Amino acid sequence: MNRRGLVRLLASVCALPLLSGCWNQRPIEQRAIVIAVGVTAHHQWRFLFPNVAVTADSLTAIPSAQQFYTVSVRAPTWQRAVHRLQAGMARKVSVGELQLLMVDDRLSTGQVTRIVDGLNTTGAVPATFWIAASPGSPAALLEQTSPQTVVPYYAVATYFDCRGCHPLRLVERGWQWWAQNATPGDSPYLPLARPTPHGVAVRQLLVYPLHGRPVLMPPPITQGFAYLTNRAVDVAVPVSLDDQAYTVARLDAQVRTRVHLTPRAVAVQVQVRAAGIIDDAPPHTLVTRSLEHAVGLAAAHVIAVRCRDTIDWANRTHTDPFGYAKRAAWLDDALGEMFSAARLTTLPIQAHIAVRVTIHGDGVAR
Amino acid sequence: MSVGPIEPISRGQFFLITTTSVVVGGVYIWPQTVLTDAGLDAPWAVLLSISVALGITWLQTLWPPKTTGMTELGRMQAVWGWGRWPVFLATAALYVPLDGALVALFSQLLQQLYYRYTPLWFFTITVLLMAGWLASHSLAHIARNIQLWFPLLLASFCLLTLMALGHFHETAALHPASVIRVVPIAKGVVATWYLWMQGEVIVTVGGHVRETTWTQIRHWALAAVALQGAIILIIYALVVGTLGPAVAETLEWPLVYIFSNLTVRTLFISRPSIVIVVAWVVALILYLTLHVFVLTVNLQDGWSLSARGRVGLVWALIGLLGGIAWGLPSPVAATDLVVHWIDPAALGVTIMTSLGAPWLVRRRSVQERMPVRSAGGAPPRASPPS
Repeated sequence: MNRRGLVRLLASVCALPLLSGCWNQRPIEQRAIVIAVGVTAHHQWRFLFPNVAVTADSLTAIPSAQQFYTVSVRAPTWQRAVHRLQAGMARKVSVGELQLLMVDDRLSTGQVTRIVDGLNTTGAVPATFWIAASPGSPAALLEQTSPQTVVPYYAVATYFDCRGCHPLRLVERGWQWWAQNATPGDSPYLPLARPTPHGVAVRQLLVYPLHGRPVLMPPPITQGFAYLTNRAVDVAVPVSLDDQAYTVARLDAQVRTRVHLTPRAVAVQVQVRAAGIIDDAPPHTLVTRSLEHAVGLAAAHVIAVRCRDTIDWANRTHTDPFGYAKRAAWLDDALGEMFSAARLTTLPIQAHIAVRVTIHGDGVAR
Repeated sequence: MSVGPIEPISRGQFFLITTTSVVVGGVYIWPQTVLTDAGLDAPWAVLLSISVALGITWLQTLWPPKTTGMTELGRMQAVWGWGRWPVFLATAALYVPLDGALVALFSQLLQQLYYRYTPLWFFTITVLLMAGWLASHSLAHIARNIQLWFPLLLASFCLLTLMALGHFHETAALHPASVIRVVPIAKGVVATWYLWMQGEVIVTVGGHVRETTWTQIRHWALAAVALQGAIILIIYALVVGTLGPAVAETLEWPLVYIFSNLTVRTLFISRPSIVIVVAWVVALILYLTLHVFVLTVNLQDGWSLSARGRVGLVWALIGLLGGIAWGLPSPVAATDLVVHWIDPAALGVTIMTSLGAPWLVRRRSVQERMPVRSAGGAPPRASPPS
């Protein structure tokens, strides 16, 4: 190596300590990493932290009740809550790993908007966190443990992470709620997470109207919503045929939607194509092609009724969780501009729904 | 003329250089600016912007074959005469502040979204030092670096784009306005122009491509602009089809936001967007390098500087870029400078010079032919070789 090369090498070595990770690093045991936040209706912010294990041995030594700890502060906004939290912490608070935001189901649309916007506008928090509602205060649900999940994974967030695990895909990221809420003609919604003996479960949605408290979507309506929005992954539908009970299971629905604005409503044409199997049939039933056809028609009827009930429910509650009005206004901007943002979101939905269910074979018996 | 022999580059390297000289520097704030200024007419504005960029590139490669010179400034002597200095400096006076603003924006992006605990100046100085160091080298050296890095940048962009397609649900959001309105479309086109300011790269570098003609140079330059046009169309569709135009307009860095929202649960990586950060840093460095290299080579030619003099000029320019970046305290201030001050002026100057140069060359060749014909039958004089 010549002299010039040596000088360059030395300069590079001397420059290494200037690298940002070198001089501004902070060990993990000096950080308080926020992985979940719960907000009550009384501006109480509960931050959940993992109890950092310094060594692999201490990881197994921590009792499950001490694997996570929470700190509560009272503040009107996210930014002030983090300030107050930091003031009382012996570690540097890090919010960049937030996995879950849980809000009280009594919070109004405006209050949730303020919370989510506060999180979204700061670059410190990636908007990929899951967002859900809890019945009442989220404190208990936030600390819910599950034998299915061990540290360093967090049980409640793991439930939302599990792709294709639940019959209905009822999850929402922070950025999705923010985008839906900020676009006229769309009513944002949140999954309502309820505690179970083994963790949490989501079977219903909360839909947020323009103003005021959210509206709880009943379970059958939530199922209809899932059919209409491509969120039904693995559903079982009980049908009755000639007084005999059948179950069509493993239903995976695909939907095609056409929307257009009229001066008084959003007109929607929905085609649901679902495929499933006859999972449960009366004893000694020989499945024939005509029986498959008849069960498929009966299942299609059940699904169509649920979809229509869901549209009726949206019209009754003056919400549009499907975003039909939003899409219609994009397609017909001239007519869309005639409606205010509030009017667009509350426009009645006139839907024509067609459902077809195809029955596939399964197992070894007919 | 003190510009020494410049080692020629290949046609493929010229293509990659031209591709790197546009779009790459300001792609981070795309398409917020066009959505703000054109609203629902943004799709028309984007298509028109790409068409105008292609047209201007075509015009910019029409006149160099009729001239000689090592750099664009040298070639402009035959077209503009003494007027080459104001024309050249007017163009440079626009893309130097643009580059300074893009450095400021990029530093702010890195600090606000990726490395919050690292001071802003650290990114600005690091990027500028590397750009200055690279711009002090030869054209072939820069071309080889671009040849290495640009495919990596493109591959990481394609990977993240494919992943981001999973969030693309709103095709209706791409629907253009039903009534074409001229004023918003024109404003939208102006708001896109920072993407296409290539800092005299095509004409300066086009003269140093091995075994080629200006017709082939034109084709490669048009292909490069078309590739970047396709990329900005893809980004526009991805951002608007994921978030909707109303929301995308409110974001300072829509593309970064879209990529930041990607998550994976494999390979111990939870945020794949970090993959592109490395490539983006290199891309911005190469973009700045090209602009600084081309400007300093032209000034070296014009002022008859030595090679060492050019290196001094490079560091003076780097200092100027650092000063401009330092003077722009927020992304809003930097974006405002780019969109509302540099863009309109740059589009005007570019259109004027791109139309003016071929017209002047044509008028000169007509004037040269006229007296010969009137003198009676002598063959027209051949144009000087390029």
